[in-house]
Amino acid sequence: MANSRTLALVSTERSDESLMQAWVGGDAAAFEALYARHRGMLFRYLLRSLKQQTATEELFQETWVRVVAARQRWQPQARFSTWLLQIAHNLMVDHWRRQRPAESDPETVLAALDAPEEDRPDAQWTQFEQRRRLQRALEALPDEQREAFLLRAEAGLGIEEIAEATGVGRETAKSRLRYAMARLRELLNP
Amino acid sequence: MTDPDDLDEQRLLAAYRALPRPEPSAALDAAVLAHARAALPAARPARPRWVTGLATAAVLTLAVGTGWQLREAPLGDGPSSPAPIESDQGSGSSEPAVAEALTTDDDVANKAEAKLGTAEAEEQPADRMRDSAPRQIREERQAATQDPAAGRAQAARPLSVPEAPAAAAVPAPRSAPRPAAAPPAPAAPPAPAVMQEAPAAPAASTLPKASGRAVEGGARDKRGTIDTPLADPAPRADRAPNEPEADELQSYEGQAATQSAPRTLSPLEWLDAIRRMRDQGDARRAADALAQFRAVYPDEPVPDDLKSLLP
Repeated sequence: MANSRTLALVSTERSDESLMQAWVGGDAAAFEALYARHRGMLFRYLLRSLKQQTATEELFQETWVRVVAARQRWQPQARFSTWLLQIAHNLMVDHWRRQRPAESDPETVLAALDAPEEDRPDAQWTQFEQRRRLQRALEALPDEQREAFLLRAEAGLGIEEIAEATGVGRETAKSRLRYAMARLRELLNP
Repeated sequence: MTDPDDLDEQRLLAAYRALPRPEPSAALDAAVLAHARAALPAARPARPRWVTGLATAAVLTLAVGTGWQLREAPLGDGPSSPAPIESDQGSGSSEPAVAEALTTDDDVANKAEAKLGTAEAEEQPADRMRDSAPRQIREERQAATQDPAAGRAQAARPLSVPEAPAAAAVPAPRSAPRPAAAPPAPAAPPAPAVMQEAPAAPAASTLPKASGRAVEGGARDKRGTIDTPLADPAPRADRAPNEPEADELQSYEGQAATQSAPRTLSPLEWLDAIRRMRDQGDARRAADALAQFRAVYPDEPVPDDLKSLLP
């Protein structure tokens, strides 16, 4: 992923909001930096929420298309990552409404994860098994709780931002995150 | 002490970060970036800076050039500016008309004569050029005979010499005299009122009046003051021999009959003027006038009392 590394180097100093403003002002390079900064987080958030590679790529691209289309309406006061994840969340909600509740398919998700080679030797089997169990535990979470955990773990959002991104109240977001944590502990430590 | 829940959360987050971190494919990256690049110019078309700079420079150059031209125009004598009367420049094609219109004294006449650059003008003696003023008077009188009201109105006008309108008549064609052999066409009989208007004043007052009226007469004939009698000679063929026209001719600064002036006179008037010149002792001019008379009226017999002037 030389491409992603190159893009990541571009987005090291300027804030998301500064890059967004520059891009709205016509700076194409600002968007490339912004994209490099959030592409991995968004992709993993979508993949671990949707549990489908094809749907993930589709919604990933659609999310950025929405960002491009709605850039003039973006307010500098809003945090870009929150705005981005809010768009992705809305697309996932629409996707879930169109699809029947998909049966959990952890093998498909795990196959898409493309784990690093160093994690697969037999000597590291225990560590690999722990990650596999965590992945399975995530898949077993209700969608709202899993999303709250992913927003916390993947994007580093706080309670307020999780509530904003998912369109719920602060207490609801806090409750979802608390239940997600408790459920994962139970699944990982039976 | 650390909260057990926080500790569990930190362990869970650490375990999550230890998971594989999949990323979008390069094709997906390219698709997204291409879409963003394609949307950017449509929303805000970027114009190259050199285009803006070039356009600014072009506008400034045009503005400065136009302003410079506008500033320079009044300083120089452009080709479109009217030629001043006293100007020594120009081809001289129109200056004779101006000079003749301003022929109020000998100096002006001589100046106009000096300006005559064409061969045709050189063939004209100065006195012929000066004769245009009496002809102008006659022309106006003739017009007045056709329109008595207009004639009276003209008589009431001030006798100033507006030079500016004369200059405006610069485009008037020159007063090239017609061939002397061309006989004047008969004219309508003059009205008595016009005869009474005929000035018996000295030349000093007659000439300005002639010039002024010549300019005013430009309303009728914009081409100038000299050609009108030629275009419409309207000679006073039916005038009485002693009508003031002859006096006017004779009193014109001592100028005798010229080639152009007598052509507007009847033979009797002309002969009478020649007699007056002779009686005043100017036999040479009388002889010249008689010679011109014979050229204009070759069929008219020369009276016996004037035969002594024949060569």
